[in-house]
Amino acid sequence: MNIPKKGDLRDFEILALFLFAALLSSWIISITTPPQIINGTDNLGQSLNQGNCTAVLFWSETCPACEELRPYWETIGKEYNGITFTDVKYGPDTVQIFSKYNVLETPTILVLSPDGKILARHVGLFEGNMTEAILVWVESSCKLDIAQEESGGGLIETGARLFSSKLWPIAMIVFGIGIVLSPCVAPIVLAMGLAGGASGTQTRQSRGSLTCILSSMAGLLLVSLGIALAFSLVVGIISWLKTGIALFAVLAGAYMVLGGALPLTTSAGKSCLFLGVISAQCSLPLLGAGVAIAGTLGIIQAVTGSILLSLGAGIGFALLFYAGSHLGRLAGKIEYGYAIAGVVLVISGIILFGV
Amino acid sequence: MALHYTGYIYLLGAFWSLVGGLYYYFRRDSKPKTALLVWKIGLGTMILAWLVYAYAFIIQDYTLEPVYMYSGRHELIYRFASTWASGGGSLASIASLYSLEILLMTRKTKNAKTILSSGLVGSLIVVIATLQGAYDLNPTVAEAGAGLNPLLQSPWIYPHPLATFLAYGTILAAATLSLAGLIRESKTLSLIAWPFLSLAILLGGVWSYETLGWGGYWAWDPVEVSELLPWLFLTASLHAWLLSRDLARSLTIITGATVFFALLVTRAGLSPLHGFANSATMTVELLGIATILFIAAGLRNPRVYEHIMDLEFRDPYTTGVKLSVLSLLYMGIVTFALLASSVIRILAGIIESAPTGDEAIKVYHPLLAPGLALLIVSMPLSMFGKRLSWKTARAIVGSGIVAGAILAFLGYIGEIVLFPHSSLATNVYALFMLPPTSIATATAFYSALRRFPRIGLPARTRLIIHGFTGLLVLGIIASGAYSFSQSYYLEQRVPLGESIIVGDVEIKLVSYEFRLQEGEIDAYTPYAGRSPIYYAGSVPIALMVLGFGETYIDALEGIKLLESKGLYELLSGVNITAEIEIPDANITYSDNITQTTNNLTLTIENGKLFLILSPGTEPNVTLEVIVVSNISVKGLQASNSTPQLLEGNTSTIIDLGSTKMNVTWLSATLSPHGGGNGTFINDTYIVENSMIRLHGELDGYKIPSNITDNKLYGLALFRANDFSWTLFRLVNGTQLEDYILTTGLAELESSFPPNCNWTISCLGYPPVPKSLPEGAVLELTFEIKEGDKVTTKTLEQRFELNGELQGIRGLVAKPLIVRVGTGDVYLEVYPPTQDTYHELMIYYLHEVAQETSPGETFSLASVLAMANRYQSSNPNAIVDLAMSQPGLALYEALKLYHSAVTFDPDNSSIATQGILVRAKVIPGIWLVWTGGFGMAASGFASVLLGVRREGE
Repeated sequence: MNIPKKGDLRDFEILALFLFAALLSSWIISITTPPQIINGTDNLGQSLNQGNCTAVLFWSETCPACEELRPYWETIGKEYNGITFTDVKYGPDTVQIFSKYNVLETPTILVLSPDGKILARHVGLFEGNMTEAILVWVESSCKLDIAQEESGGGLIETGARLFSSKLWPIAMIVFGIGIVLSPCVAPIVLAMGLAGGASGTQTRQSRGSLTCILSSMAGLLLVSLGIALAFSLVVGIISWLKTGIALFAVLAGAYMVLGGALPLTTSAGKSCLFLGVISAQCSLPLLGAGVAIAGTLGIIQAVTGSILLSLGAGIGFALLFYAGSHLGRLAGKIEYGYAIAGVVLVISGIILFGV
Repeated sequence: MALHYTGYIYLLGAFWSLVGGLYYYFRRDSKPKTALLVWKIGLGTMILAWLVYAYAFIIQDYTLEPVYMYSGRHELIYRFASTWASGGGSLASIASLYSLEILLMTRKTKNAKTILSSGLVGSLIVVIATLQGAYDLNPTVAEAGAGLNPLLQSPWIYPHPLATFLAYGTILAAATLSLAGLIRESKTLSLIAWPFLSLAILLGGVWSYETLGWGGYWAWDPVEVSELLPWLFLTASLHAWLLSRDLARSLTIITGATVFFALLVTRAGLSPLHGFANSATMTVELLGIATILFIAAGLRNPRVYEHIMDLEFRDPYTTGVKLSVLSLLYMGIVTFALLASSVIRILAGIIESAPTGDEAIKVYHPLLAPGLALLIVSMPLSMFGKRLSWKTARAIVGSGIVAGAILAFLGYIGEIVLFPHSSLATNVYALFMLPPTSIATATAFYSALRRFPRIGLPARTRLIIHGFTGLLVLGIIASGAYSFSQSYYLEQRVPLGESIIVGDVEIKLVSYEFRLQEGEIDAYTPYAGRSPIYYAGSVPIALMVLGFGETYIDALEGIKLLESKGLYELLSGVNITAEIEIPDANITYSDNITQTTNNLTLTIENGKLFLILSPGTEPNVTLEVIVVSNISVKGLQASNSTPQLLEGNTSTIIDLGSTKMNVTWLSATLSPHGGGNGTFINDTYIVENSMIRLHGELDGYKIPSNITDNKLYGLALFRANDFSWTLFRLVNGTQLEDYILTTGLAELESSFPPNCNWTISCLGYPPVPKSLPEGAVLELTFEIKEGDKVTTKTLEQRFELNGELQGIRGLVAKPLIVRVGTGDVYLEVYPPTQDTYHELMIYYLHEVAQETSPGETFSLASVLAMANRYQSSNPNAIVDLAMSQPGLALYEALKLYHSAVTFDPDNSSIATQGILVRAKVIPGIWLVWTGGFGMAASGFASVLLGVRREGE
């Protein structure tokens, strides 16, 4: 046990500081992105103005790989499935566009959102059936945008699809359990379980599970409520929350490796509330669906849907937490339980960064 | 050397404080009260002297040179502010503030050392101010001053310089008291100086960012760096108080040395940006000596080294404080060394100015980066007093480093790119710094809020300072690369009524308007006979008087007369193609051998009439004509040397289209007009663009007998080549033409001193009007669209006549700044130009031309044209240049004059082509402002709370 010196910082204080620092850092990263200056005269700018997702091939005459790629690119045509396809050849007139999007190699394909934001970048050739591979990659990259789009159009679609089935209450619970397995939370749950076991503080598992269900539900509902109240604000924050959580996982992990404890593991209530909140950002379309439903089908269904979803997640968390702590008790017998849990957290943080 | 009376007041004050100090010090046993009183009166006089000094500026006492050179008929706020616009004036201000600080802090002291040393330091500053010309008498009788530098004419002239002087005065007082051993008072003064200095640096950044359009808030300009230097040492000394009194005392004295050094850097003319500072050698020497003496005094105490070398890390708190002192000292020493090397190299004449901008970044960034990293990473260690355990401390700092390293790695492999156009090193460093800085910020703010036993409010405000420091560093991480580097700009032309989209902001150019400024200035008295620009500016006028004007009148007559006969048009439009047989030809070769040949054939292809000379009289016109043409000569023998001149007699008739010319004589230059040789192809020598003189008679044309040779000769001179014809056309049809034709030349001639025989002593007095508008303003109105929000913003570009005439920079162009979240959209508008002149100057002259005689307008144009060229060369070079190439000088003057009188404000280049802008997004800049102001504000709060507590 870590017995703090009088007046020394306590673990929960440090973790709160870390959480704040991680969010601050990721916010700075999010504001420090390349500025977009759209020159109204270039073709690319015009493509972007059509309001579609746009795929751009940057190529040059001197690159053999470009020669290989271009026939496939041209078979796609100017538009496919609502996505605009265009290309920019390297030359004195286009140097500025190359530098604007920081394209240093050819061939590079960028997928741009209608407002000119870079959604995905691919350098070099594709494997296998080139045309198909390009289309699959471009389409999936465009969806990346729709899912996070502030207008909420994508969310409403997802929501409508879900609620069109008669079995939607069951679907909600199942999706809720699914949230737990998302890469945002699973490693963190595992690490917390490990650390909890190592600290040997979890004695009443059954009561812990129930608490976990309730508190993680509360966490998720809290975010749902936030989305309902201030949709654009919350979505705006969530776009950079992922980096923050990744950074937090790294900080907390490193802290445990260096000898600190993770106080959340001592209480199922606190830790599952935390899990509920952070898992929300991986399941944004589902939560957004609740908002959408409230607008179209009615408030009662929306509330029920959100509660069912949270319930599913809560069950998932409780199961995972339970499993984790058993694993943790095994780990507790190992000398470096905390350190191992810390390493797991650091690695999960790095995975969250998207490497 | 006679001084202005204000100087005598200062010197008197300095004298009394020194005499009092010396007497008191050497009569230690008896401690005479009179000496103490004399010393106090001396200091008091130095304070009062400033009020008198400032009063001279307010009432515009032009007998005081700095008033004459740095002030003018401005509004009261600028007249007052010009008190500290000159190098000497700012030193005088510092001397008075210094005296004030000393008097306030030593009300009850009887410490002899204090009294002596403060007398010495105070008088030293006054002497330096005197040498710097603070109290020089104006040798001329003037009715108006040269005016305040246009760059300084902004409300910003108050906060930044005043905060700087307050900080400098206070630091010097603190250093003096430390020297004398008044430790407690010295510490208090250091604490007071810190927020002032922090605020001063920040305000300088904001000033340059918001007003001057330097693109960023920090450019590593030597003057900027010289103000950072005392800050680094002062901050180090304040932290050192927590470790050791000896160390803190030494560092306080050294901080005083860095202030002397900063003054040296500012006054030594090192800075390319701060061009308004000028230098005097003696000043530099005295400041250099003061710097060295104070450093020596600071390093005298041997215990200081023990404290610095003692690397025992007892507890996290002491370790944190110690690391902060070490990292600040490291940065301070590096900065000092870099600045000092610039100073030495400049004084030795090796370089002209210290590196700034991108050049300086290459040196400063890699050297200072480790220091900043150490400072920030270790900051959380000392945020919780001695309560923090090593285990917790290690874990907090370690986690920050691990997270930083992981982010840096992600930056290294290109997974996270913060600054796409900056180096990998910049990206990696910024990413590494992010987590430790965020942790430092979070811990500092949290510790200020946390419940500690026995931690007072002043201590909490000091913790808050650290939080804001973290915020400042975060702001610099986010905004630094975008504001430092030029590569984030995008340049674009924006036509009237169209927009540029930057980030999420659409900026549309709606309208523009030119107008004159309201004040009036004398553009003659302060400059005539003194300014190199006026010497150069009178060269075109001299040329006008010495021949250009009369030749122009001749040419005008010539045109009229020839036109009336239709001959001029015929000749000027004619194309000649002819084959001329030359029976008796003399050929001169390049080795001077001449040869006579029969039967040469000369072919003129696409000849163009070039010059008319010597008209004959009735009945037929006899002319000498020069044509420029591609020619080929057949019948020459190929030789080792090249043929250069062909002379011969022919009686060929050349067909000129509608008429014929009987050529009786001919000579041809057998080399191209621009130099070089022709080429032989078999026996034909071909020369491009050669000259042929023809002498002949023109059938059917008569020239009236009243045409004198001169008139046509004048025209011929102008028609001789494109350059001289351009000169003619620039005058043709303007008011200047009427002026020349009437009284102009005599008037212009009378502006030169009588009997000067056209030597250089004639120059320097171009008849520029004595009362002119202060300047002109171009207002650009933009409509700014952010989402659904539309606002209108007006951007001003100012042209200040005085600035231009001083050869500094008459044009002040502010940037357009649109705040978006915590960042800014930063847009700079290039001043619209015609040829080399910006349209504001052209517009100004256009308006002046409506009110003054063409001769005066031309004189002003001439001076402004020279000033425009002067900006990039040294003052005397421009006089040499104008005198060695007077034709070019005249061309520049006429070009500007012509642009001005033909200018139409409604049809300027803005209306026809739009404006050229460059824009960029600077993220996180508001964190820099918030962090910086927060630091200064909490610094002030900590002082106020601390003082109150002491009072209780």
